[in-house]
Amino acid sequence: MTAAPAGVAALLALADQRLPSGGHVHSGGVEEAVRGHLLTDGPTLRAFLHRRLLSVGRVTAGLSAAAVGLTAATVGRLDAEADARTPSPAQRAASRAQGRGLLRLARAGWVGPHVDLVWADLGARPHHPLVLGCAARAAGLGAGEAALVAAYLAVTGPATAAQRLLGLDPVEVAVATLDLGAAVDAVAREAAAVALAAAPPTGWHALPDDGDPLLDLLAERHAARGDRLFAS
Amino acid sequence: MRSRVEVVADVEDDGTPVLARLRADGALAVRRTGPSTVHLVGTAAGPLDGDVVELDLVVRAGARLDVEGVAATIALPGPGDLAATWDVTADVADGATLRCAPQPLVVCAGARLRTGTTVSLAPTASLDLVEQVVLGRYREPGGTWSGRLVADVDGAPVLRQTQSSALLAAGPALPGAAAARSVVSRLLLGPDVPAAAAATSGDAVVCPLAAGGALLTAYGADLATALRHLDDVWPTTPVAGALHGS
Repeated sequence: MTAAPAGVAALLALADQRLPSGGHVHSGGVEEAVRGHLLTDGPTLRAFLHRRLLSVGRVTAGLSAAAVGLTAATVGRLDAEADARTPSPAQRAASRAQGRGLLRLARAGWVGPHVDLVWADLGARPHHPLVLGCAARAAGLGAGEAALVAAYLAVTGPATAAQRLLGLDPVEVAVATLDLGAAVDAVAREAAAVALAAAPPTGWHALPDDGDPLLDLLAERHAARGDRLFAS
Repeated sequence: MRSRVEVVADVEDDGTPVLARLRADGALAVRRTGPSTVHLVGTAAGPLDGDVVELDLVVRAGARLDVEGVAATIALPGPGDLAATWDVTADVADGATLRCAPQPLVVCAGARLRTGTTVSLAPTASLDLVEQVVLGRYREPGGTWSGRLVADVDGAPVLRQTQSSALLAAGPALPGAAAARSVVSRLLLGPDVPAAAAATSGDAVVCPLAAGGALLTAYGADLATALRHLDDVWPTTPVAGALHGS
């Protein structure tokens, strides 16, 4: 048996939902989908998670992979690329809230991402994938691993929210996530390949930008409610 | 087949609109139908798989260009090994306005189509871009489609978005409800676009963009429903009547 490559423990830690970065208060559209009876059971959860992986998962995987190579001079451009891929204001706010939470943790965990970037360069409310890419770099990980964590979190956060909201069998939810494993791997691999081939900052134009009007709609319907359980 | 349309709109010193360039070849013709309005006219079936269509639009400083269509474009399966491509590139200078609202694009069963719209705006340029996609004719399953919309203002990214038939077909949908077969997107950019809050109406959403302007998206089981939702969510300047004479 071969030993796991270096950095796997850090990778697992970044993908762990117990990481205290505030992700647990976001449902990624699940709460509104449950309210609208779009998401009612195991099969509809699987479809929702797959759809989210192919849109939000691809976009955040690409941005996280690109952020591994971030420098102080290119932060503004990647931030704008993230904004341009997130038309929904509620989703932008959710991304920045989770970015701030992860930044707080990263500041405590690592001195800085690398010699050409300090945490303060990211600003007070950076998009989550930018912080994730920088934290991956600080932990000694590369673009492929950053993309993998992003794609994985695009699925697992909403899966947990659905389990809580619908009272689903935790085994069924876990299996739904496991069954998406190959698709998560593929999304991360493709997104990282695009990010590595793109010359920053203008080449970031080519990063994945898959959008889903359904998720935008759910995010804005949710934001307009006064009686939310989740922040998004 | 390769088709290419080039339109350059300009304005003379006395304010008279001119079309400094107006040419088309392949499966498309272009006709001037008003001082600053052109209509696209399909002169052959398609696009079929493997066809390449390019529209190159330039609106010079202070000018205006309205691009419309006379009929829906019907993407059909064909002998080509590759998907058909339909690419629009637009360059809008300071103080200029581009309104581009062609008729719907219908992607028939078995057809493969990739569309791309890339818009570069100067800081004070204005844009009103409407894209209507219908997956399949009446009672027909849709073909394979992906469409990318890219907008930059003053060289900075404003919108990057790819939509695809695969994603729209992926669930979940309301039990018993028809799948979303029609998508209408409208991108409004420029100094005259009113500042709007995010809003929803039916299956339509207004998304104020971080860099200014707004993206409106509506979907529905048919195009009329999607357009109705779109105008409900943005009643300021409706498009449905203008597009379909209703």
